[in-house]
Order: sequence, then C-alpha cells, then structure tokens
Amino acid sequence: MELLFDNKRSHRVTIPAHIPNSSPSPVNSVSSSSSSSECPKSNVTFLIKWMRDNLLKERVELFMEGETVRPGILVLINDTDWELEGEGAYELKNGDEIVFISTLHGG
Amino acid sequence: MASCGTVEDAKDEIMPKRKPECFYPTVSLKFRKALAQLLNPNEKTKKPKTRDDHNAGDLVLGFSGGIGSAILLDMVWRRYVLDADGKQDATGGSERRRPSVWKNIRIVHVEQCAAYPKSPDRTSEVHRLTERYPEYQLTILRIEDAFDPIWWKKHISLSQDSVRDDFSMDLSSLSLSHDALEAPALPVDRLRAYLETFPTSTAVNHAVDTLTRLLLQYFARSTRSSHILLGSSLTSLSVSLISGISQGSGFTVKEERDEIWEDIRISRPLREIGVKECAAWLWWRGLEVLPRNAADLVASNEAATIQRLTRDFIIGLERDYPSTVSAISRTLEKVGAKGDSSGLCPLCQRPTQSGVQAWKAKISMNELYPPNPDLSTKHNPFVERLCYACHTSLTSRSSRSRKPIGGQTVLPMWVTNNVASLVESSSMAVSPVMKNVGRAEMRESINEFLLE
Repeated sequence: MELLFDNKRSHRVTIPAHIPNSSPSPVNSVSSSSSSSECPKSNVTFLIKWMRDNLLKERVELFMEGETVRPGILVLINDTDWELEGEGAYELKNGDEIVFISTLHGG
Repeated sequence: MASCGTVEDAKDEIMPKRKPECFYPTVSLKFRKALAQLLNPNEKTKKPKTRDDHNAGDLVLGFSGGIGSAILLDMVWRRYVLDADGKQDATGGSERRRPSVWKNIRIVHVEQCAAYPKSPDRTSEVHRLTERYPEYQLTILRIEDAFDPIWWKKHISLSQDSVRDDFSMDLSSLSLSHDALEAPALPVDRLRAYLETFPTSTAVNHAVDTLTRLLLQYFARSTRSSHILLGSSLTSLSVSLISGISQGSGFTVKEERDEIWEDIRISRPLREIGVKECAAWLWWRGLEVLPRNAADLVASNEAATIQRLTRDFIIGLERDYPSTVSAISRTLEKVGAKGDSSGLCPLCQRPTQSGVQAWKAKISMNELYPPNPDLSTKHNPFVERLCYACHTSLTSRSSRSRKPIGGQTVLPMWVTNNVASLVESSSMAVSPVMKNVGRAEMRESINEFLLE
C-alpha cells in the first residue's frame, strides 16, 4: 500500500476540522463566523479524498473506487474495523489513527 | 482464554462481532483444528500425542511473502516453537506443554523474478523478514532451478543416475522427441523459452504457479519432509479454486485444498480464516509482507488473466456478501470429481481424469486448419497423460495469440527425468488412439438433432 504513497508506511497529517464548503458564500450572508458550524465535521470519506488529492502519487484506481476505498482494502480506525464505526461517516477526532491494509497481496 | 462472548465491557474491534480478547484464541483455534486434521486424519482418541504418533519427518513452510504465508510462519512458530500458552512451572521457568511434531522446520521461498523480467530479486527482503524465526532454516529456491540439470542432480535427485534433459516437446503436436534441440544454455533462458510457449497470460500464470508448487514438493521430497504447509486463507483459497475450475482443473479441486504426493501431505491450515482476520492478525502482531515494486503492483492489477478477474470478483463479493466467500470454499469441499484417474499428469503431477483427451478431441477445435492425418492417428503417450488444465494451457489461444504455433521447447526437469517411462514403457495402459474428428464426421454423428 505504501507504494502508492511515496513508499512511506506512516503519514502524520493535519486536515481541516470541517469539510470545506466548496460552494461560494452568498454576498448577503449574515455572519461568516457561522459558516464553519454549517459545514459537517471531517470524516473518513473526506480523509480518503484528501489523501487522493494530497498524498497519492500514482494510480488512484488502486486505492479508491468511486467515493470509497477499493474492495480488498481493510480500514482500521484506532484499531477497530471501520464497519463498526460507521465506515466513511465516522467523524475524525484529533489524534485518530487510521490504518489502511491491502488484503490483495495473496497467500 | 475461552473463546466466548462473556466479556461484556470490551468493545468489538473486528467484524464479525468478536471480543478482542477472543480474537487471537478464536483464530488460533481454526488454525489448530486444520492442523489436527492434517496430523491425525483418522485419530479419534484424546490421549496425548508424541512425535512418533504423527510419523512426521521435517516440515516445509511455503513462503511467498504474502499475508497468508507471513501469518503461517507466525502461527507455526507460536504453536510449535514459542508455546504461546507461556505457562510457568513452580520454579518460574516455562515448561513446554507439547513436543515438537517435526524434527526440522524449513521456510522455503521460490524466487520468481526470472519469470517476470521487470521484477526485482527480493531474496534479501526474504532474509530480513524471516530473521525473527531463528529456529527455522531458510532455503531460497529459484524458479529457473526447474530447468537446471546440474542443480537438480545436486539438490533434488535421489538416485545417482544422471538426470536427463535431452527431451523436448513439439509445440504443434505436443509430442516428445529425443531429437537434439538447441536449447538455451542458461536455466533462466530455458525458463523464459518455456514460458514463451504458453499462448495466453492466464496460461503463463498457471505455468509459474505449477513450477513453484512442484519445486516446493520436490525439495520437500529431497529433504525427507513429511508435510508442506501453505498460507492460503479462506479468500485466496476460494480464488484459486474458482480460477482453477475456470481453467479446467475441476477434476483436482480436492487437491487444491489438501493432497498427498509421494507420501508428503500438503495442506493449507489457514483455509478457515478470512482475509480480514488475516489482515488484523498481521497488523496487531506487527508482521510484514514482502514489498512489491510499482511495476509488479500495476502488472498484477492490469493483467487480463482469469486469476486476476476471479480475484477482483471474489474480493468484491467479500465486501458486500461476506458469507459468499465462505460458501464457495465449503461447497467445493463437498465436491468430488466423477470418474477415475489414469495416473499423474507429467506437467503438474496431479491426477489426470481417465479418457479426458479423447473427450476433449470431440468437443474442442484445437487447430484452424484440417489436422495432419499422420499426426492425428499417431500414438502420443505424453498428450494422453496430460490433464485437461495443462493441455488447455498449452493449446488454448485467442485471436490475440502471443505466438504462432510451431517449434520446440524445453521442459521442466521432472518431466524430462521421467520421460523414459512415458515414451518407452510398453506396459503402460493407454487409452484408444485419439484422433481429431473432422467436421463431416462430427456433422454426421449429430445429424438427427440438427434443424434444417
């Protein structure tokens, strides 16, 4: 798996606490300070896309399929299977450890 | 520690819902059950076993560097070397609770880089990964050793007779000949020439897998080993079973799970353990797999082979329908082939279904042009002994065929070494002479069923 990420097994990253709002703010918005509270908190789906855009060096299709990881990649959130944590909807917290293990490397 | 759901306050950490303290014992139990079936296939008593009860020689652990084989090494080490229970006696020292079954345990890695020109040699990494098991003896084989008569005589051959490498195979008729062949001198070149004869990428992969497996088996025989363990998980076993059947290996589906070859028992004790459990074990035990380079990674995912397509299909199934993968393995465990075997295939050393070549001649067209009547009626004991899968690998070609038909090729050492008994033995029972059925004759036999 690390082959796709600059041959590094571990990455310590800092990502926005909230998923950035991609649409432009309306000119007559009441208060810009309230915009972050309207944005959802960063979750694992956002992290995967962020990794694709910022860390992935090549061959996106070997890591992602659609909006999620490719079948055969096991995701652990703090040593727990992500299926038990809500998969991509799990909201990230400071210090979380997300592990991606490729199970395509046979027997 | 009991494997149960009594720990209420611990959080589930791996699917299916299994408490973390139970994960290791549960997975270990699956491994030990599979080993117990291997070591005591007919034993029902519960008395303590000794080494002599198992009639065990040495053990060979096949190590490909993948997840399954990395875990296999770890589990065998914990069970038979470390003694994972770790109970201490009254004086504070640890007492081994079970005797080691085997005299010696060998890790055997078959380096395949010669078969794939862009792949690097990874033997230094294999040494590094296996350093954590000093009690094991590591042996590195190279896939081109299958074509090296000097190496074969020195390391594999059990008799003092000279090994034979003077037979070649005609690619148009698949007949063996004792004619002088200008074979490449180096084993690597002989290997590549052999792989070039296969018409499809699927067939090349099948050939590489067969060469690897048989090198392991012949090495085990030469070291008087009684058992070979391979690290196929539930998922990878399901993949190999389905892709094998797709390539014509249905008659030997049982051998893909467990087989006995020349009194050596070959088994896959991780076959009940899913790939997710394997990945979790790998991560939590801090194990490593053999790194692959980018070219390998891309090639393995882009090659249009039956093996890759099957793998992608089953891995995709596992995400949405996880019980289906288990169903594949369990169903095929109950499947048995009909018919008798007429002996072992000279190429893959697995049982050949009796009469399969005669049947194949009736249902498939192997040539675009009318067959040479002289060749079609000529007795060809080598072809008659080939199993369906090996024959298909050598002959099945698409419109994008890699090479024109024709020429000659070298063969692996176990074929040329035994070829005298195939070509010259007059006591061998053979099936009736096989001939290709012409279109007119075929039409006549089904004429009454045709709609005009």
